[in-house]
Amino acid sequence: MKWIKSLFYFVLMGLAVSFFMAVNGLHGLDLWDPASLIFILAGWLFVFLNYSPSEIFQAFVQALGLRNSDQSLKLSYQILGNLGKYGLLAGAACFLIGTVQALGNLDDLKALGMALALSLLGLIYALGVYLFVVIPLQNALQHQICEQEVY
Amino acid sequence: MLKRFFIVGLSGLLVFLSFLMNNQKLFDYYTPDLILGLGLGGLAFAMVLGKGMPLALLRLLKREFLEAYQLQQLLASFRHAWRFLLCLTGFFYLLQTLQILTHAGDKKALAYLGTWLALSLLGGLYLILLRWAVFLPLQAAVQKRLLSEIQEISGV
Repeated sequence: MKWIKSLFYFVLMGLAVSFFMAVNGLHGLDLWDPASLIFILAGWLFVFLNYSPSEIFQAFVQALGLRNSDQSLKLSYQILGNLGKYGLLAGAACFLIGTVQALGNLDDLKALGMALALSLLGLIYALGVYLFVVIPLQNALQHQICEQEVY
Repeated sequence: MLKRFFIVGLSGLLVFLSFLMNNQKLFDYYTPDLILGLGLGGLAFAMVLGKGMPLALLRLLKREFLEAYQLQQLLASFRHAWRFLLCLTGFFYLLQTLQILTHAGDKKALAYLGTWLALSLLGGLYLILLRWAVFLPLQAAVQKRLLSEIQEISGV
């Protein structure tokens, strides 16, 4: 049942985004910028500072309700929250770095385009993951925590 | 410890790679006034206002045992330190705004406007980097330790 709900969420969110993109004449390739992606990856890497790969894996497994594990639900909730926060902070840093670069290259159109791509796409990647991955998984974990506390 | 250095190094390398791909220079993002101001402010907080914070932080980094109340105190100190740095940056920003307002109508007003804009953007960038690379990892470490201690106490 959880899988059907998740699928329904992804379909609805995918439809919302693709409808918005189609109406505004945007293509998927317009949203591809390796430099921004690398910057956001650098942000997500920080989650490994405090949590081991197995703890992070268990957090995803628990949130998806795939199997029971000994790991505390609150720890899984923390891990996912931190993953989202690191991404958003890296996205915000990307935005400011791109803006500074854009302001320094106002007379050079090519450099301006690259700077604005870094500025906006980094933030879009971070927000996308937060919206499509972190929020639904944290929501699922919150329900499980509430159930555990009641019983 | 080695794992942490590796992760931070790898992350830094990725940021550097992203900078290279965009033909950016690290020196463009350097303002000594803000760095020195925030550094001295942070030191003042840690030494005077954050009572016992540096020692507790050192023990946390050495993975020594800390009581639950000490961890909670450390967490509260991080929150206060973060608010302190936010306010300090806001204070610098207002000072710079006042400075540009006193030069309104001058021949060099545009140059001062540029400096003000750069300071505003870089202030935000430094705060984000501090949150990303210092406060959030430390807070996460304390929260994780606190959670495990609470579970140990409650016997879950």
